[in-house]
Amino acid sequence: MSKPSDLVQGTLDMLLLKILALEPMNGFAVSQRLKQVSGDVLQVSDGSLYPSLHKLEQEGWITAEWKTSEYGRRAKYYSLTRLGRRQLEKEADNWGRLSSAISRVIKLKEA
Amino acid sequence: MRPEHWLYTIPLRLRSLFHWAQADQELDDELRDHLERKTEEYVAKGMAPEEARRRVRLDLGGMERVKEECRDARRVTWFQDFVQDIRYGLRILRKSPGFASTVILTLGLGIGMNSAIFTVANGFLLREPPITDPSSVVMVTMANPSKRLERNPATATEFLALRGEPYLFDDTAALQLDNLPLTGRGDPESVTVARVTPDYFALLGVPARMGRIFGPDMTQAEQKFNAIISFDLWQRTFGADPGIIGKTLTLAGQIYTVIGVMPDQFKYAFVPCAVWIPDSFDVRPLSSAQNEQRNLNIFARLRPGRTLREAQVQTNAILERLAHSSPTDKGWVANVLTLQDALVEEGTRIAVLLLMGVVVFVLLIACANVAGMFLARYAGRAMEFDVRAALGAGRLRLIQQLLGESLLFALFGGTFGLLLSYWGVHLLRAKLSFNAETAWLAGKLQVDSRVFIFTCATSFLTVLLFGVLPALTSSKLEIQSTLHSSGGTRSRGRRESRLRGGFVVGQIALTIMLIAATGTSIQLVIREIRAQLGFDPQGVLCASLSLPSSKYPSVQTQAAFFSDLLQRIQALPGIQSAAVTQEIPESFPRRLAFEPGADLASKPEERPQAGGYFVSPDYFRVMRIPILKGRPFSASDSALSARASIVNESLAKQYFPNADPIGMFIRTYADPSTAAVSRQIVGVAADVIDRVGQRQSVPQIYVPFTQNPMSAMRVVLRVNGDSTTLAAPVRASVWAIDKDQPIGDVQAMTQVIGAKGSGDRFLTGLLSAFASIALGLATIGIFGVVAYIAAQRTHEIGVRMALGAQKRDIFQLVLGRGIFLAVTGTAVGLIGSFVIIRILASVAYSDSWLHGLLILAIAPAIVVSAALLASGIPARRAIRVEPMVALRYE
Repeated sequence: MSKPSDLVQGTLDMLLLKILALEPMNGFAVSQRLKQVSGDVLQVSDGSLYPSLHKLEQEGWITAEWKTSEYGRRAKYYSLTRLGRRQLEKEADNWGRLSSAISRVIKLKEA
Repeated sequence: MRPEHWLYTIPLRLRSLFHWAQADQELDDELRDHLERKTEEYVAKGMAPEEARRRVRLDLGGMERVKEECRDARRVTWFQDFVQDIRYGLRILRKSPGFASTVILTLGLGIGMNSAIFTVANGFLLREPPITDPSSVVMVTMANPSKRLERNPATATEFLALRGEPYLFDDTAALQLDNLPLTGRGDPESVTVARVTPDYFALLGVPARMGRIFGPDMTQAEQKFNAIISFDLWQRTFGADPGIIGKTLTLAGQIYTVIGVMPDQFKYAFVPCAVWIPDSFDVRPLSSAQNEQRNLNIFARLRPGRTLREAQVQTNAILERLAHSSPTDKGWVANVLTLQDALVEEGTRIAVLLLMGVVVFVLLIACANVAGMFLARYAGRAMEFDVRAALGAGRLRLIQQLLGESLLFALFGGTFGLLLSYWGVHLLRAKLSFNAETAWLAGKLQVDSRVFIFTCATSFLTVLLFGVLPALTSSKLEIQSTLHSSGGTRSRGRRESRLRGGFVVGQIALTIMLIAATGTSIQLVIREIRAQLGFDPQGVLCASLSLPSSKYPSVQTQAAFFSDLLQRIQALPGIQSAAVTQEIPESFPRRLAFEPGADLASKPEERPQAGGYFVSPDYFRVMRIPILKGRPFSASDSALSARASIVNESLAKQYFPNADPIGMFIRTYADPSTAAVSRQIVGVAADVIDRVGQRQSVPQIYVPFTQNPMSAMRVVLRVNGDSTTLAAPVRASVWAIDKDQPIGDVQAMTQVIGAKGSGDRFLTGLLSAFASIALGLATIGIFGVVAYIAAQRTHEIGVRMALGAQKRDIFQLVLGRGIFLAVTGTAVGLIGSFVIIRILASVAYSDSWLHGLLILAIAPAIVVSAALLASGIPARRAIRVEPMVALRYE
């Protein structure tokens, strides 16, 4: 089952964009990579991964094409568009501001 | 968003829309690829293949749900769903033709009636005059509050005063209507001629269809004998002669040169003019009396940025100054109206708005009916909705589905309604042509784009009312598990039936209000039709003649003509008696100011007024108006003898209350400024009706026509047998004296009077028809609801009967529900009716609203008996139910 509480609301889009910014890959690879880089902390269920990818595609941030994979299978490869790159920068900025603000609050010394 | 964004997204949306099958296939492929790889991964980790496949599916969650979410991401699913809903709706339509046809017929009827009446409103009230920038053209009409006169023409003095103010209007023009004989082409005919100031056409901004209009660049003398003719006259009398410009026509013996032909749509007010001739109204050697005649229609163009109200205030300021300097006809104020408002008679406006209101009510009742039917269907489809909800359909999605189905009904209902309105407009066009004015307008009625848009809008509004409103309020759209509970249908029925009951209550209330409104109007109209005439129109023939002043310049020649004509007509076979009169009753004769007795001190504006009738001796015999005292006129009351008069009973009672009026004197004023004529009263006649809709008798004075001859008279004859057979001999008698004299309509008196009442009669008929349709719809609605509720309670009835309830109890139970609904609806309806009747009385007839109370008693009686009838049938059906069948009924 998906555990939305594991991910801060709205950050899944940003993570997907970031991963696809590194290189074009298919849905399965995205889920593997996500697990791998976050050290299994960020568990994104397969059930919510695909709708998110489709949503990003419809927004015009990523684009998809069918390619033959290294295993000789046809698979849908997603890659970042120019719009997507801009969106990623924007969200990353936001995230940076948000997280540093939160950490400042958390690190306040108790009197 | 940004264009760059659209560059990416629009092709994607289009692809989703038109290649959605392919997009779906790719989604399948993608997910299958994912499943295979993941399975391989698990197997590689040492899982058994079966176990791996199971884990993978668990990881993914519901396969169909994921697919649905991915499809939702495409954002065009609503459209595919919509297409699907329409298809499904069509299937439902085919499967239940009875339901479908009832809904479509009901909606079509409601929508069709609205479209047809809207067509009339559109043609009569909303159409802008075909002139340049019509919103800035106004008419200055005159009203006299103390005499209760409205929308009267102005006098030449008033016109010249307004025209002389340079800052009031951009331009001011005047028009005076006249009837003149047109000779030299076939039979002489009397045509409507408009004398206009030369800038009239330029003010309206209408160019000629052929030739040119009067121009301000030419002098009065140059234009004096120029004429512009109407499209109709050009077609009819001149055979659409393309070389008409420069040819001549003869009006009242005067030759005019045709310089232009106006376009087809061009007319003045409701009166189609045939010829326009120039007149400046200020260079004629007018006597002061002529200057004071109210016969000028003033048109003006507002200065840019000036409002109607400002123009009104300034106009009145000028007229007030005028009244101070020339103390003649007092008490008149200007009423500046937009052309569109001025050209529609108040009665017509009220009638059309009343009809529009009534058909909206009928449509609301039809909607309530259909909404009730839909609710019943939703109840019947509870299982279907539950299954849909269980499979993941959200509340919004279900509403969308119902909306789609309703749209389908709106489409069919609207189409049917449009067809009905075509037929209705055809019918109305024929029925509305009861006089020249409405015939002209009715002839132009058509279902145009505006009506089409109106019909579409009405159809979709009804969808919201009958389809979506019930859906929103329906408990069917909340997931209750009928899937699990066998008792579900019964417990849900409660709320459902309450809602349907609400619709019926609303319907009954609307019907009562509708019956109250139409009933009140009909009652008032009928009272006007049945008003006492005071004379006998049967067997009387009537012809009007207007002598051209060029040929008959003096009153002596005019009187001689009519005397000669009377002698000839009296000699015709089959004539009982014949007379000439200036006016006939019911046509609002000219007002004649008078002073009774010897009291000479009254000021002009304080003189009482009477209906003035200028008649030949036999008038009273022809019209069968009884002479109550004294004598009728005789041949000895001539131009040379002593001035005589006959007054009516009302005048005698009011002004000579304690005396015998015979032999007394009365002073009459033909015009406010002319000298008084002292007339001895020789007789007292019974009252006749002066005008349509008159409720109380008014003073009337008869004067021998030889003592006050006029150029325009009517010939009235009492005939043995069919009066119309004498039309041809009467015409021949006129032409024997003067072969160029045109004759107006020769008609039976019943026709002349009937024409005035037939508009009202048609309105009455239409209103009754609409009220009957509404009552019929409401009855069907009540029947449907009571029958449905009875069916819903079959189980309960079974239990009751099994426990010993008698048939009578059951009958009362079901009938009681119907009665309860009817009484509740009636109570609500009565409150509404009370308000409506008061509004109607104040808007249209102004004197009393108490007569509406009778309607308030009758309307509920009709509706409640209809409700009882409608509830009786299902109640009888309910008591025939076998208890065992009822108990098993689900």
